[in-house]
Amino acid sequence: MQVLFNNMKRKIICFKTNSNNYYLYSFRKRTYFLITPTLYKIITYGINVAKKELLEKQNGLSVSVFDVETVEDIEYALVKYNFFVDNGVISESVDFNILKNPDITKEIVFEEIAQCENIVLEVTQKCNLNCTYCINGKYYNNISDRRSLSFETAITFIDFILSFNYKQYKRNNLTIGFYGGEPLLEIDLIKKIITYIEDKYSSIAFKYKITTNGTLLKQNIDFLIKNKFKITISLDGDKNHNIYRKFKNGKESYNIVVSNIDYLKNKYPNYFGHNLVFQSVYHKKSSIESIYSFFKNRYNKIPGVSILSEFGLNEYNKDFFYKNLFKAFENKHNDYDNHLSSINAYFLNRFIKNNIGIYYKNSNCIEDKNVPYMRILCSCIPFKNEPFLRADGTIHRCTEIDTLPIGRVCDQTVNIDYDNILTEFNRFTEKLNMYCQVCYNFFNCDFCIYRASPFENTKKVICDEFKNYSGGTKFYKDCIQKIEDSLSHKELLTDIFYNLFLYDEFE
Amino acid sequence: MMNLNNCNKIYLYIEPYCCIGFSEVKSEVLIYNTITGKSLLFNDDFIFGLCKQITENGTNVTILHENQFNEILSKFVNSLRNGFFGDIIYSPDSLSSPFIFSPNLYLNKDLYSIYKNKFQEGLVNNITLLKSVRYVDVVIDNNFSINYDNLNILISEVEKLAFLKGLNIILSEFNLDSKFYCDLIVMLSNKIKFKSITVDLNLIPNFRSILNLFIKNNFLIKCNLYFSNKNEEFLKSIDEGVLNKIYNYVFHIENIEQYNYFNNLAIKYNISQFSFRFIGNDLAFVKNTLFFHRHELLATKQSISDVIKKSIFNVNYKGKLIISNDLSCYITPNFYVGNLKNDKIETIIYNSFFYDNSPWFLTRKQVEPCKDCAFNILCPSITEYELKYNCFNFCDYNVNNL
Repeated sequence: MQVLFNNMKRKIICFKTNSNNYYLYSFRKRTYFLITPTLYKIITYGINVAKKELLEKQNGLSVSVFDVETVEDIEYALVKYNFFVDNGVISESVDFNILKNPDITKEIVFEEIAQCENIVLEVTQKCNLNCTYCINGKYYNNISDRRSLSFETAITFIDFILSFNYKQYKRNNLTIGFYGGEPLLEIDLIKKIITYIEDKYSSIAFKYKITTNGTLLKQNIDFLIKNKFKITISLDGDKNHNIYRKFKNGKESYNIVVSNIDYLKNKYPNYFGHNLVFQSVYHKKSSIESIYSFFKNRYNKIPGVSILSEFGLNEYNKDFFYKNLFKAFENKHNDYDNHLSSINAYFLNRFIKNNIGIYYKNSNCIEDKNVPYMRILCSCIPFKNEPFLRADGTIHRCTEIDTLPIGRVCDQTVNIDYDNILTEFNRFTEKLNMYCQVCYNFFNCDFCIYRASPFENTKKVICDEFKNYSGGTKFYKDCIQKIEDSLSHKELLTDIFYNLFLYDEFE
Repeated sequence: MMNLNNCNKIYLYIEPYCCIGFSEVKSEVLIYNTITGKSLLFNDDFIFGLCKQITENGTNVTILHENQFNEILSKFVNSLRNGFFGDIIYSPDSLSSPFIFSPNLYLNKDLYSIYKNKFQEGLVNNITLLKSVRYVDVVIDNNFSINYDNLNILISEVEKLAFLKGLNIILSEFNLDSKFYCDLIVMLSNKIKFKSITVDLNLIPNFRSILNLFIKNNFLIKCNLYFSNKNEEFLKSIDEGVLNKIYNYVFHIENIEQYNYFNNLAIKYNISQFSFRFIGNDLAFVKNTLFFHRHELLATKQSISDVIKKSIFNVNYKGKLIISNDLSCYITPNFYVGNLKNDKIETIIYNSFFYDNSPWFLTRKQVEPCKDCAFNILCPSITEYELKYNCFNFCDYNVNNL
């Protein structure tokens, strides 16, 4: 691996698709170039081989690589190769500054807090379900005393965010996510929080989100609609796939949840269409294809799919967990590859957005020439992406990483341990930089740096998204291959190109 | 089973760094190479149809047949190859058409989500709207009534603009002796991070006395100078150091004499940052001065991003808002979008997006005669002069001249 770190150059990605078309992918130009087989050979075998064989061919000798090409073909391909090299289409150099994860300072964290527009509150750890794979269940070490968030703690945190002034940053809006347990068990607390903040901060536009298991949806739907909640419902698929989501008495939750969703769909079809998404857990008894088919057919929705958490697993039940419940992330990708439907639209959508053309965060960035594209990984910067207040008063970076708190609400005061979070973040990114700079999937990567916890012990970074040259070539080839395969499926192509931003809706 | 009968293909393609413009009227096609800055112009029906095919299927690729190869096509292909505009690939073993991504800009969130939710209830509360405004001109003149309510509305509404890059306070036509105006400027400047001030020098006799106030408050000062005999006296009276603090002079001119006068003045006083603004109603003068030649247009190298963004919106107007004394908001002096006293700023920005012919999105593809010109992909966005005179062909390329 050490050799990898010393070589900051990238090889040229070029390949032949299953349809016998040749492409090269240019990192600098951020797009694919269709190339002739002759140019492909020059890139693959090297320009010296091409020049040598051209000379031999001009002298009437037989050659091995450019055997079918004419002299004119080779000459033109060489000229074009040079043109591509001179103009950065073919380039091995890497802009170190672009391929670098950001170092953060206290000022950056201040800026993030001052601009923070999304927070998540764990209103309760209580739940009316007892899902087999729950992170508070027997497979995890999490010790939850099933407490609820106090009103004072919640508003202390919100007040801290909304009154945090730094430089001249102005905040006009805040999105609050309500999370659980099952947050609808604490509907009175949610109502109290909303009444308080809307009275106190009349100049702030509040938006609300909730992640629920759907069992209590029907009785609370009018309140949620009135406050324009974006609703995420956890449902794993049809009755068979939803088998792990049970009530405490062992009864399956599927029928009740689906009946509540159907009620919402029939009574408020417009709201259902625009404000409701599904989140499914991927496990041993499910497949991507069946999950997507279920939601597409029944609700005309594309669900989010997540794998089971591997954090904080209980050693005693670990073997059973991996044997009977857990299904690894890479299987998700395989399923994606095999399933030619809207899943491809999602996958390609993300790929195109990150790897093709010029992607701007918003239309105003177009005028800033120094903002060429954005990087997804920045979401790991504390307060950048939905800081999460747990019911016990600890503050976390997000709902996913709950083992490394960045602060605490205590006695109606918010304490943030700036020094610790800076040291931690910079230590993680410094190690990751070595990989990111040589990774061929850098721009498409949404790897969470805190998921790299295994390298604490092994001194080795485990990154699901890392792609070396061969992995990168396969990745870029697969993506254009999907497009080529889709050319005969007009509807799918339309889906891809006309819905490029569909999946930003709930970001 | 694969259909082997379709395997002998010749693909013609245009490189993704090239842009293509069409003139339906003239059956003309312009292909511009953003890497080399070179262009090709064809006015042949056959080539026109071929290029249409290439762009209409969205892949920059089309299939040719050997029997199509006449002299015109051969010439066309050679031109493409010689200038690296495109190429042909003879692929006897190709099983399906290759694909080239057309150059594109992908915009997250704001434009798209606004467009997508156009008819959804509650849209005007959408915070993304507030990110659309980049520059605000607040025009204050003699008619400005000393109304603190108006002022508070103005400040609170401008404060909401999340992505504001510049607040430009334009002072004109009033006497700056009054302490009120100075306090007003300081107050506004303290509220907004980015600030500049534009003053009409000729109309503010005591400008020199408040110059230090502007400098002290770190204003970027931009001066409008109209033709008058006082200009030279004024410039003489200001120290050279202070003269340089003014980051730009805008000379307002009506004719060639005034143009020459200001040019000489700039040389004499060593003013390097200046620009001209045409006033008055002499269309012939404006047209003669702004007239640009096709070779000038083609000589300006443009990136793919430059070309695409001009096709989406007007780079001169997008994100700009003018607020006048009575809190009326305009995009251009004639394009009213609302009043802050009656409308929320979200509503005003919403109007700026969706009014018919909103100058924010006024492109050459929407106006006569430019929309029928193949060069419209390269032309600069429509300017205030063209809007003022309602005349969009300040060029030597008359599309109607068939």
